[in-house]
Amino acid sequence: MVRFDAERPAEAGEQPAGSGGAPRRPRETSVRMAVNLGGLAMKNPVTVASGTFAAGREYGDFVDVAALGAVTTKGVSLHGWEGNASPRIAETPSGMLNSIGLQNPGVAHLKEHDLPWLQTRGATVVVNVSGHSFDEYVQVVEALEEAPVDAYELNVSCPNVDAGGMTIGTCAASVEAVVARCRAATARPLVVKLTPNVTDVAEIARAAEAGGADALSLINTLLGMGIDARRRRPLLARVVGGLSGPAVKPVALRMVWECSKAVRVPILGMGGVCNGTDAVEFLLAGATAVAVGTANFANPHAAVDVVDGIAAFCEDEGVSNVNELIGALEC
Amino acid sequence: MGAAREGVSGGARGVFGAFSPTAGATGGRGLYTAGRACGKRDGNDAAWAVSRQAAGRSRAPGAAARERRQGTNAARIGRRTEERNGVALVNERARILGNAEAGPNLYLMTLEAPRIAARIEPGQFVHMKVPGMEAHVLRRPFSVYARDAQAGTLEVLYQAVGFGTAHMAGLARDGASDAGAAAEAVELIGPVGRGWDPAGATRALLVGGGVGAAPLFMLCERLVGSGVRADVVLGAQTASALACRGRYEALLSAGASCGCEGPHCATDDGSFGRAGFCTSLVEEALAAAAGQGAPYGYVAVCGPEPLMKIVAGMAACADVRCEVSLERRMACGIGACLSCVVDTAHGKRRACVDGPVFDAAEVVW
Repeated sequence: MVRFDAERPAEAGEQPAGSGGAPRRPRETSVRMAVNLGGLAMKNPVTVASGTFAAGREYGDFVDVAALGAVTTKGVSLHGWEGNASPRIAETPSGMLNSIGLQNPGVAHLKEHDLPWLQTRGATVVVNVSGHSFDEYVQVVEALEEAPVDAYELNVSCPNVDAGGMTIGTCAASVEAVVARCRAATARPLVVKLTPNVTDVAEIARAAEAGGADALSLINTLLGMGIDARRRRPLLARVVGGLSGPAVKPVALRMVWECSKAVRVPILGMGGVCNGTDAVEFLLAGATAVAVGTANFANPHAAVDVVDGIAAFCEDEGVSNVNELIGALEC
Repeated sequence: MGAAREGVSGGARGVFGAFSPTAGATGGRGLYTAGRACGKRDGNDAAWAVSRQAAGRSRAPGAAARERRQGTNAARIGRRTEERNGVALVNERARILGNAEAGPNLYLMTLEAPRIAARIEPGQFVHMKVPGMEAHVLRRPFSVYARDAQAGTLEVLYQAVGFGTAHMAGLARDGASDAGAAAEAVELIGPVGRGWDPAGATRALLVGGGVGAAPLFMLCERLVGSGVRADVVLGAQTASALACRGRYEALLSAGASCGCEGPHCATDDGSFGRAGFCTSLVEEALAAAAGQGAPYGYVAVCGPEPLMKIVAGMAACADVRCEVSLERRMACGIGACLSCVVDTAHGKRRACVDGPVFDAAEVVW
């Protein structure tokens, strides 16, 4: 089989590997790829960013979800949210803005329709939890305790809703409080997803750790907006949205690096990861694992390509265990 | 279709009196200029409320059954394309075989994509990654105009309305690549979406405005091929913008045995066919068919949203089932990200996999 890694562009006429039918799995490698994210055992360091992958089913023709380190599902609330008015997205230089508004059908629907599918596929599942109140976060976690969930990612950082997420994640005391409430509700690994729209992300990271987080994930999207000059109108119906994609990688790397020096819990790094080299940069900066988000839109095989790319990098560099790269930045 | 009449039909203006040809969601550039759907209601709300009321009085046949098949609001959000039409999505690298001007700011791209060409249904689309614009991270969705399953090719008709389409217009313009030159190729995810469903109608009316004529073509082929009488109305700003006219003429003359004629055309500037908007032709067609005692069982309309909204209202008033094809900004294009939602009577639906074809009576305009 022709080796197809994320860094080598395929020639015209050559089919992208995996387009021949079966959903793609990472290729064989002698590199030890398993990592442990605060108690969540991941067979490789790659998951997907919440909101870009639904609960995995839509990507089922392209990716073998069980072969990823984990699947992180779209943010779920207690009763379901309708989400924002359209247009909800806009393309920006090397990125995009989104203001989806956490549209989701509620935790009961997730338990009935999505988690069983993931379970039969054998995926490792991280459920992203959202709420408009501290109580709601706890109620969602409690509702999921008897469901097949391997870890929770607390979304205290979504910038798209008027109340709840954004407010919590910019205030250290609030973050510590909501994490502590959820900590009391579950023994499963708790990953807290941080917003970058703060003055000092390390302060927020320490608060999450103090509240009992097992791991941190960052970054969520950066607040941004776009304008149509001819029409003199914003590109998004909600005017302001979240920026993601390659353009944010430098900010994400910087924040992962800062947080890794501020806390002892492991970090899930994300923000513009498109290939294996990007992922390695996050590991070097201090991340134990990475999430692939916006890249999935241009390349539905992106998550698997990143796994293969990490393995290829390690093979090239004589790294036998991916854990050797974590925090190995020399500076 | 009845005697030709001068100018825009007074009947159309009477029911939809608020409609102004130059205002509204198209930003003052006329009925056929491709414009992004803004998700905002334009000034026709009152008119649309009238026609939706009419639609509610007598549900189109099959609507209730379709609802039962489609399931509840929340449950539908999670359903894969495959679960609806049984065909898996592929990501196919497709060589550009041709890319030629087809009219004013209109281009026709021919692609070698045998896997998608073999499976794509009328009204479905491909989600295209265009090379050489990596700083623009999103794919662009395009309805498929025509396909040759045997040759393994498909065609896309497009306008340059933004960076991606402008960039596309410059690709592979020298025709087939010569030996030694790297062939230019795109990547296509497909076949995506819920296509046209004429549901056994014995007489159909197809209305295409501007580039909207293209997504209807495969439907027309399917109808003519199965002996259904298909009447086609095409509208555009000017004669040279009726880029699909020749193909429709050839197709419909081949289908003359089932009574097909046309297409009936209208241009804003009167350079071909009826002068004015094609909506007058639609109104006449509906009235004529009803008058002959052979009413349409199905209307399919594709083009700028003001056109689709008006035709949908006309169909509702005539008690004829109508489908529209909606265009929205897309990111994933496969139903995962919830960027492309459309407001419907059953809540927000994804234009990519729950559409792009929608029952007009369910759309909240």
